[in-house]
Amino acid sequence: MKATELHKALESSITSCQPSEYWKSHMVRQIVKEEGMTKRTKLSTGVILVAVFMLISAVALAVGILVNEYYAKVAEMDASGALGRWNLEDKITFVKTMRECNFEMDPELYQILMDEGNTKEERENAADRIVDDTYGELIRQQQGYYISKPEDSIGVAPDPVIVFQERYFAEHPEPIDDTPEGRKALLAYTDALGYYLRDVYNPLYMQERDGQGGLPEKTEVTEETAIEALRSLMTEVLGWDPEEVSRMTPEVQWDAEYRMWTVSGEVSAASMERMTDRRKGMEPSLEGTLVEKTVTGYRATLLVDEKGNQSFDTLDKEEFRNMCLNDVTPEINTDAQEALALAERAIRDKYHVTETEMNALFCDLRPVGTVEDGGLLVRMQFHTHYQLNQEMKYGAVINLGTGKVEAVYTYDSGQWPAALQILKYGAECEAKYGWYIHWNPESKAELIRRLRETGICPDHSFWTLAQPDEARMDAFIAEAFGVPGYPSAVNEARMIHVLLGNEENRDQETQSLLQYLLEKYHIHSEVTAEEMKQGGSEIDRESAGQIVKDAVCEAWNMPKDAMEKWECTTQLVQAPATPQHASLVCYRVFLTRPDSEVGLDTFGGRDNFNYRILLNGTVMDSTMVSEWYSPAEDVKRWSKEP
Amino acid sequence: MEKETLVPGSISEEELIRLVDTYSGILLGLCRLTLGDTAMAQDVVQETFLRAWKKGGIRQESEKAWLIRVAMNLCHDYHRSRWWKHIDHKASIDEIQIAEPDPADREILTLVKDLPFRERQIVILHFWNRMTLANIAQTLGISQSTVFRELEKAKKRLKIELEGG
Repeated sequence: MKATELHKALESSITSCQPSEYWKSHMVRQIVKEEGMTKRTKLSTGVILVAVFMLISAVALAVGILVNEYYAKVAEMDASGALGRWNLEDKITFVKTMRECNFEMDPELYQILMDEGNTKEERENAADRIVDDTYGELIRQQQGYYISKPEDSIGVAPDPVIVFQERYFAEHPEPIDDTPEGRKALLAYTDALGYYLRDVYNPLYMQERDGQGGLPEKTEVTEETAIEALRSLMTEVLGWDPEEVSRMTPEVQWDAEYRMWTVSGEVSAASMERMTDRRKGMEPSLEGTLVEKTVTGYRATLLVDEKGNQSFDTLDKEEFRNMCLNDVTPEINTDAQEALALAERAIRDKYHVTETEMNALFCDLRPVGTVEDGGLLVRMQFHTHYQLNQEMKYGAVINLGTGKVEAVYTYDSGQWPAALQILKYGAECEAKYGWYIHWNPESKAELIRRLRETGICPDHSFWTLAQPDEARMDAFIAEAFGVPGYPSAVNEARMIHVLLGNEENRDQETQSLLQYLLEKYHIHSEVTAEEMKQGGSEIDRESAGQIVKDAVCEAWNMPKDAMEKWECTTQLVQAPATPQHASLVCYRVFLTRPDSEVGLDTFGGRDNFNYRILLNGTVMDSTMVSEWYSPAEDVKRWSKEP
Repeated sequence: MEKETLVPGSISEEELIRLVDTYSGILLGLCRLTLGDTAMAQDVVQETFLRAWKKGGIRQESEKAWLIRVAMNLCHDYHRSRWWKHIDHKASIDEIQIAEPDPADREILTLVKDLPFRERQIVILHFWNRMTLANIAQTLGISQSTVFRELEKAKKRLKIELEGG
């Protein structure tokens, strides 16, 4: 090949790209607005941040001893503070470890680093470049920006998770994308990360997950703690010079009535003059709120109650005290590790689980409330994958106040009580079809079969006589779930209310499994059941007409007053008979277009609407007569017609 | 390479549009050839112009060199990312029209694309942009000896007949 040919080929390739005007102008708009760029990369580094609290004892991760040693070394360095300190010695240790674990690195840079004849700066730069070559990009991605210049090396130590991630992907190049294989690869990655964090890195702290806070800390505020809180207020909030603050002589008073410390300290005006403009600039806004200007300087005052709550002295003490008292602090006498041991023992005893099987599971912990004695209840869930809610196996509820195991249970629904099994079935159907009234006849029949089989609901001789029709099934279900005549009002929440009773009467096992069902099937609350109960009172004819008008306007995306002039006729009617209740009572509502509007565009080509509405205000759909449709269904139905 | 002199202050929108109109095609082609991925190349080009905007202007006589240098470094950054291997490279891009190369060129381009990343970068800068080894070294932030070594390896792979410099 000749150089000219190569040049021509490169030139033709490089000049062959013609970006569209739209793309160019879009790019300019984005840049000028400084909105930043939209990256096309499909996978977020957020997947690495799914870390949860890892509790279970160590088990070896079989991915090769050399790699494991490397991880262990990084974890050890982090524990000793080396990754935070990150001086020359730390960098040398880190780079040596990388080298021992066969990482590729620039030999020239390594030589510069190891040559004691070079200056400290040269050696540190060399180390930064070596680390940057391997981890720089990941660190930058995590920090959300790019630095292109090679000389701008990051100069910070890589996070242990980044270390793991980099090595893992080097050894597992399978793509992670939105395919079954990709998702499997992602699951494998997160599991491996979980085992690393749990067994090698082993962080003994609670990380927040999905907004769920960690365990509340037990606080005992002493005079020293109160003073420390004031110093931190002065330096971190007010931005005062730490040296001046450390020289300050604080004044502390204990108020036995309100059970709180009042701690204050003064910094001289002269010392404030030496501070930067920024700090001085804060004075006007702070004076009279946090800071009082005295003859000789500036005084800050802080209230700290016995539990560590803080406020400024502008807040009334009594108000502050009431606020703190309402903030109940649960009692914790058992730490997370002890709770884990208790849970594991209870699970192994009840379900005969081996130690190996137990160790292979991940565990997460979340506070679920307090009991009467003030003890904090925590729910511990054991699952097979690092990603939460993936293949849950066992659970336990521990009282951290007393150390008592309140409940031990399995997520194997085959071992659940009958009521919970029915609720699981109900939740599955609701997730698939919606509320009960929308289920298909087979699903409805199956629900009835389960209810009869378990004897939870009283049986009726009707079921043995003939194959029941759908109307009769609906009537039976409405009766069984406490809303006779209103099958449209039956949903999972109502089933829970009937099958399990009020929340305060349920045991911890039932409540935990129920919570699991609600989360798994995205059923948001039981409030719905109560709302249904509250809203069960009958509506009058006028309201019925207006409700239907509103529903039609909403479904057809019309202004609310679009049907104001429409004529409304209402009839109270009875639906077909059912075993226990002879009738299903509802309104039939006819809406007719007024003569004055005839000739204008009509909605769906119809000049009138005809719906049924239950006495509790629910606009019915096609429950008993096939040609009945709800307003929303009408929209779909008519939109298909030419 | 000459050290460019930056014009103080922010460049105007008109100036940015001129830069984009003049260089976006070349940069896109360059990045696409370097990275082998159109979506990535678009990201790099966007990022390059963003930096030009934030820099506050570039002297006109050295703007092309400056933009190429930034784009090449960004390509390197992208390529170093371990996430590189976990990105959907099939993302369809309809904002760009790409002319089909003639068969002879395609054969050569295939060989170039098969080169290791660093060698590919050096070959492109040297044979397409006629950059000297010193300039390439400065642009990519590596030593001249490394550039020489990599270029020699690339020439052997490509079986270049003429002296490349």
